[in-house]
Amino acid sequence: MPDRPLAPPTLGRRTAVLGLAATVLVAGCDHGDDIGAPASSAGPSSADASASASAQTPDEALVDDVLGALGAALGTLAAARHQRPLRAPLAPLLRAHRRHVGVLEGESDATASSPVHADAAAALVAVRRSELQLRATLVDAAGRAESGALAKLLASMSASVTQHVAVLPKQVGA
Amino acid sequence: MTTEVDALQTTLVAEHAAVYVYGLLGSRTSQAAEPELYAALRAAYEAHRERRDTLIGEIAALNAEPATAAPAYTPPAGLDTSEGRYNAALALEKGCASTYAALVGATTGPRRAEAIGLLNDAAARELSFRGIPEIFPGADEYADR
Repeated sequence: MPDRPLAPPTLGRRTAVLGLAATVLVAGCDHGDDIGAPASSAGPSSADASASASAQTPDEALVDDVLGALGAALGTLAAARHQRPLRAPLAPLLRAHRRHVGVLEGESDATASSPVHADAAAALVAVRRSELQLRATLVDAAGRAESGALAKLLASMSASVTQHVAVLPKQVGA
Repeated sequence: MTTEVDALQTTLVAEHAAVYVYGLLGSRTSQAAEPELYAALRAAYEAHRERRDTLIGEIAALNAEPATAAPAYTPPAGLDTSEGRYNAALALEKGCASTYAALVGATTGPRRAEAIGLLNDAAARELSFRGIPEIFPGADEYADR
């Protein structure tokens, strides 16, 4: 089957850093004072949305980028799981990324996907490549975050990717 | 608020303990009978010893007095069995991962980049002690969300 390009996943974005701020406050972290502006209790109008987009903080933009990268990785995983031998080995990685999206208060589009590969071996190569790209994004974002709490979270997510990639099967059926 | 020097000192204290405990674990492990564990312990010992020495230099360069090793450390329990040594090493490395994650949050620039690398290295080392991939290595506060 040829590779089939599909629309990239869409992820909720604006609330991500705001949600993280709440998390940090609950956790009592001493670096939770610099994450983002307070959330409005009212739903945004189109004008509000436009204004808030332009007022995005650097950390909010960073989380946007990370959620985009997570969405792409989830799409690659979803496509790879069309290959039956990869379903079980990829399940922990899928679960981890969904939690990563959740803690950033993003919303993943479960129907979005990446090209479906002809066989499991090709899909596994694509997953490995996608995960390494995601890890690079997370490491870079952790380095650039203004908030120490956000940096710590993103660095932890990069370490999770490191662990999950290390235990991926070396070859299909291994 | 935790300063960079404070975070570096905390990391150094953890490295002193890691060097001691890995040395102890290595001395209780037979290279012939348990080559895989021995090699993993040796690699971890050398990594943490190198990191300890680097930290001492970094802290001194910041005009602070590097924290010294404790006169003695309480050995982990269960070192008489292979499983106990694996467990002790895994717990130790998880503790180091938490320390590195805190260092990430307390630093900026090149020092933070280095801490991110250390966290990733510790996470990888956990696997050599029979650890399983985690969702938030070094950041347990997110685990139950």
